[in-house]
Amino acid sequence: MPGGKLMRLVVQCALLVVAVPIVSLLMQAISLQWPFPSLLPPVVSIDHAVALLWNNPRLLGAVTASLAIALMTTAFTLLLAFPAAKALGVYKFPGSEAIKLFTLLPIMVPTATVTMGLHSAMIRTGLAGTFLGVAIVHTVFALPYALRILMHVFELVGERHEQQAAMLGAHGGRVFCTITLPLVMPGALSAATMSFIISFSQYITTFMIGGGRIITLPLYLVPHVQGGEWHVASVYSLVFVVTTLAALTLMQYLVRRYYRETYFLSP
Amino acid sequence: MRHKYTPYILVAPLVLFLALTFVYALFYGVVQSLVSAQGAFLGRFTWQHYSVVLRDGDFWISLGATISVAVIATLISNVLGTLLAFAMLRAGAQGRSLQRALQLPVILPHLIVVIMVIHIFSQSGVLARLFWWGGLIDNPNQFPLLVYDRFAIGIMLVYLYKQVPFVAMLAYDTLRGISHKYADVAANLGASSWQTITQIYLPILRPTIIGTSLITFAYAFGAFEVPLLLGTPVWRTLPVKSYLLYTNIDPLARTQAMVINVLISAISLALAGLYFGVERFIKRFQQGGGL
Repeated sequence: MPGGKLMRLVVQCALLVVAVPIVSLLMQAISLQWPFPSLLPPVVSIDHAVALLWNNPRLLGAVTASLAIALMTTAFTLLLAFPAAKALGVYKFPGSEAIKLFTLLPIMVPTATVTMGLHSAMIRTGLAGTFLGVAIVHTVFALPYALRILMHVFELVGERHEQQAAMLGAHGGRVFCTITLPLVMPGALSAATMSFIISFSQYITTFMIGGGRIITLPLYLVPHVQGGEWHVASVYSLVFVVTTLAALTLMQYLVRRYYRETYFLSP
Repeated sequence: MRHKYTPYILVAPLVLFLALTFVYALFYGVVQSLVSAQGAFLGRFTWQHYSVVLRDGDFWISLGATISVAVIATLISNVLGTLLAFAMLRAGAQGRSLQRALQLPVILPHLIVVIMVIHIFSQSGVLARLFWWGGLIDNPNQFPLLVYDRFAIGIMLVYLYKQVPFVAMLAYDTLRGISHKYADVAANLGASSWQTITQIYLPILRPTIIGTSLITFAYAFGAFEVPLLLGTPVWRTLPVKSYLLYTNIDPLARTQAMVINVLISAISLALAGLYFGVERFIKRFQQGGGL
């Protein structure tokens, strides 16, 4: 195999390819105008970006709607995937392989296709145009990923520790809180992160099921992309990225604190 | 200790939920695509919508384009991602720091990557400016059309920016998880580096790459906002085409959207079946002493 020097060069190039678009997005967000041949924006100011963010109730509404729907999706996904992952990861039973295959299918079928099939049912049940309805549809697409992550963790953890605790006389609720949950918490965090990100980036599902009444960040962003307002689109993109990272960091922090306070150890 | 039905009770909520949403959606599409225009479930059974869609040349162009874009993006991202993972493995500490950096493209939504690709590759983008400074072009119009183009280059660039890091991260994890010993033993026994790669590393990577190929193909095949924003009106990918028909005021167009949706679902599900078939075949092959 070729030497380490060449390989380090390849890795550095990859880093550059990842970084350049992000830097260009940041520069667009702080440039007032950036006419053709200049490589750097001639007029740099954050005033306009601040004006776009400050006192913008529609943007605030979009951030709130995105967060609310993503949190609901994460909760639904974990509630449904957690017990199923335990059954599929730990026990082997007739039909388990078929269920594993079945739960993977929503990854394969396009989101737009599934959403069109659900659209009229959502209108008839009154769920269209509500946060609940949108979160239910997002959950369909988050479930396969979350289930796979959790299943993998349960496969590794197994059931021995729980059996031991039960043997020593701990009842079901206590076993769950003191044995199962701490053991699978890192996996649950990954599953939650995945669900959150999937919900946060949904466009067509929210657009159709929300019926124009629910505006999340992607819906707020798309018209500016279609209109070619690159400066505005870049500023809102950064809001998108910062909100996602903040929410994920908070989730991580809460899990860390839970470990520290309950078990005096860090995962 | 454990009742016979416990696992079934644990999976029941999930299966029920997916039956009421996902399975219902597919079933509804099939029913709608098979009734004549007299309205919802009251209409009579007919194949006529299928024959209308299948005789439309536009549909076949869309189908061919959607599959080609997905196949090309999947091939390039899995090959580049795997090669990058090998480079990361050989680059030591730098490889590990790149893995952390690669998380960002994976987290970024496609929508934002669309904006980035336009910034870099449009006719007045960063690349065109570099060409101008290099004296290769005199004005933006001379720069080749790489976004909104007929060959879907802009669309594929978005997929690659997200999928190459995704494949590289997972392949790198797999490669780091295996011990150096296998490769060392092979080298001791006189294997060339090419033999080490094809006989040791690739078989170990195979399940990872089959998994990432499935996910990357499924996304590129079913993506909506990327081809909507970066595509050309000359041809539409199937999900975009079916959505445009669905929102048409003509009720017949809506039925045709359902026909396209059923065909899309059939292709997707066939592919999932193929994936499981291949996975099972490999497992049996390995257990049978093949490896």
